Amino acid sequence: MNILLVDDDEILARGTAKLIYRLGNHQVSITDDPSEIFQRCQRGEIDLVLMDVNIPGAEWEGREVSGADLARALKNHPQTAHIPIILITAYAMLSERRALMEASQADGFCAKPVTDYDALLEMIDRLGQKSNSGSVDHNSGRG
Amino acid sequence: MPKKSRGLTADTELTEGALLNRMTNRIRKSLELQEILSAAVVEIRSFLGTDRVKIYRFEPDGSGEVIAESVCNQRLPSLLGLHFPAGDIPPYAREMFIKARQRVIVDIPSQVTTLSRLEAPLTTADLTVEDVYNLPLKEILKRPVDPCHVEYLTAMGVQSSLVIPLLHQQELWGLLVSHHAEPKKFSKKKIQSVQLLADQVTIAITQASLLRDAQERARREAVVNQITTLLHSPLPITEILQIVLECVVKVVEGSAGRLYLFGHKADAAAQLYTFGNQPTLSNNQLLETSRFWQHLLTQNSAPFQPVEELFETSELLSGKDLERKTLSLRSYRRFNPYAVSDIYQEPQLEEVLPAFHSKPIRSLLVMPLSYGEEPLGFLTIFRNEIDTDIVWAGRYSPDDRNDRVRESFAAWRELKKGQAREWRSEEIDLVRSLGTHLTMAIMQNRLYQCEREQRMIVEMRNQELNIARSAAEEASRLKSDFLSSTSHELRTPLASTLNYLKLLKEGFYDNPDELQEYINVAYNAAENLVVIINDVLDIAKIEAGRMHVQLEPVNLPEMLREEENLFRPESRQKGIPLIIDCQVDEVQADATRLRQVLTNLLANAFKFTDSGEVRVRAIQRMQETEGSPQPVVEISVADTGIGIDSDRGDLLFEPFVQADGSIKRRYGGTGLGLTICKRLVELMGGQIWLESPGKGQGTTVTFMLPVVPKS
Repeated sequence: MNILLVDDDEILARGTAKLIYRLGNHQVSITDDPSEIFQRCQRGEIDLVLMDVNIPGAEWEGREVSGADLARALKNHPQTAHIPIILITAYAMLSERRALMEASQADGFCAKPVTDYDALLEMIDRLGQKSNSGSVDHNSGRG
Repeated sequence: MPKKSRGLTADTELTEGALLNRMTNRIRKSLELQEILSAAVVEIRSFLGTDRVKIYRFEPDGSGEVIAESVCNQRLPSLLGLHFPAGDIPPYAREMFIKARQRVIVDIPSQVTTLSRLEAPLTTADLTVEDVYNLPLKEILKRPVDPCHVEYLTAMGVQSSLVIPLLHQQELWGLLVSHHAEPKKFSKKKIQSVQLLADQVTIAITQASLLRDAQERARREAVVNQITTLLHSPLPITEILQIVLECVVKVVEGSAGRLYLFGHKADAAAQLYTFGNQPTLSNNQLLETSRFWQHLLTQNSAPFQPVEELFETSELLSGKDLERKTLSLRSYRRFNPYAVSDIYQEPQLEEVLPAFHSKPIRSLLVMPLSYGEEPLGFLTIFRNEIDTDIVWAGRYSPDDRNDRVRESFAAWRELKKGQAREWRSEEIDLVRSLGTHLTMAIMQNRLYQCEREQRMIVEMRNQELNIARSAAEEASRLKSDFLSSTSHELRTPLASTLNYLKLLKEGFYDNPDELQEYINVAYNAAENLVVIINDVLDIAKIEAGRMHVQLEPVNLPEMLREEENLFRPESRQKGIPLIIDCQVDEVQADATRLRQVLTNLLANAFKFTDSGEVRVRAIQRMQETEGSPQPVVEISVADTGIGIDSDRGDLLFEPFVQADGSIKRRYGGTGLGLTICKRLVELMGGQIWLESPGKGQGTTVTFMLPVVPKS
């Protein structure tokens, strides 16, 4: 699976990417540039997005955006709506988590730091398969 | 003869009937008493055919005045307008008039003969008032006339008289008197007719009196209405009281007045409203603080009179009831006005009399004002002395008045200057009633003020509570925000640490360099975590009030030299000179915390500056604090680095706030440094602020500390 990891902390992201590659055998590319995210998703290069909520400095269509904003934008674009998105955030409080899931329309959620990679990989596999098998049904991609 | 006699009788009856009719009509037509009386004397004189008919009115002091008179062809001298002293008609004589209703002395010369015939006869002059009251009328009438009276009438040139008393409310109001220069006898019928006429005059007097009373009452009610309207008008109470005082003074024909009100609360001063020419005490003392006024408020002092009801009912009450009644009255006592007609005759006023010297004031009226048990003050009205002008019938000296009858009744004018004027009971009543209204208005105003104050206090408390609640909510929100941010900030380095430790643990490294890199990253991330934790702990400690600063004189040049040494490596490495310009020797601060602030600010300055310089400057200047200029030390750390938009400068003092997202990526840090600096400076009694002309134009952070520590 080709996974796009959106994170502004490059060192942290490199570690995460390497672990996912070595543990789950997925190709992981890293970016925090919104336009690159959209281009690559629209081109069909990406099977799943791991989206960090906190990407300070990211701008999209002239305004500052969070990972949750980008996730919602992807979900609302016909070309990218089918791509599963898992939110990764250090905002781990339950109330914050609910609000973020609601706002982002993401498919899954993962707390940062990731302590259980097996669970994360299982979620990636599950969402990736659904997305592949049910590409006709856009709704099936939503967890 | 009988026929003739009948005709005469009919004629007389006709005349009398006509006269009665005329009189009755006149009395009904007019409400002017003087007019009626003047008409009556003319009618009655012509009816009786005597030389003089007069109406004599008694004054309260027993003297009297001829107020209406009709004289036939100057056969007798006119007495109209003359006053007669009280002794001229002694009390027993007045009592006789009331009892006998009418008195006829047919022939003075014959009385003189009777008197001279008897050896020391008992005359009417020997009667007492009680005798007159107790003896049968016949007995009294049997007695010869008082020889003095005989002499008196003789001196007046009168030889026969008819006197009919004019009664008003069971009191002798005056006399209807007929005098004749010759002896004259009246038929019973005639006397009866005159009596009827006198009754008509009495009716007229009663009506006039009723009218006067009604007019008086109406006038009083109008005044009371006018004043109550004023008292409840929306004007400020001080204006109202001044106007009302003036009204009260004018309405009782006073010359001046004053309203003194005790201080409402323990700390409030007494108020004094004045109108007219005031008596002034030499020592600037107020009259109301003198014994006379103060005594009016003390319970057992003479001027104080308890409520009338106590007197009215006390006889009906047993001892215990009376006691209870007195007690209950005591707690709701009312005060009566205390009237002094002549202040120079009132012993209690002696000590304040100097205040009245050189003033024309002669009388005063004091109405103590109180509400329940609470004395409120005094309403005092002054009246000037007056000049009286009385025309007496004949000059007499008080010494021989009783011994010798006056020989002449020629008018004698007596002009008396500087006389006291009595306070009439209507005036006293009016002042009492106005005093009560005044009291009510004052109390109402006080209650209103009191209620307003209470309401304001409640409103203020509510506001305070609202502010406190908002502050508590804000504090709670900030705390929760801080916790959330802290959690987030701790998780990021923790994630890096865990990621790379896991890579190491799984052995996912391809070569020794990668192994070393993973170890370094994990270590740096863990180290970063410790820095954040320390910062967070510092803030938490300050927030919890557990960070204590010890202010002491700190040698600032020395501390700046230490800082210079600390940052020398960084300065050399980046090629940025650190310039210290210290114009202050000493500053009041906590050395450890001041160093922490300086280190933090210098670290920021070097971190965000690539070229140029970092300059530290310390100066002393005066600053306006709480109205007075206080010396302060100002220390600024200026760099030539990346700067910041001026509108975001203040935000940087908020926890975890950095200028923008890229700062973290490029420079790292937690966004807690300035927050800690701000809290520490504030703990040391100072202020901190950040200035930047804009992005790329450098930043200056300045903090100020007081030279003299706040106690």
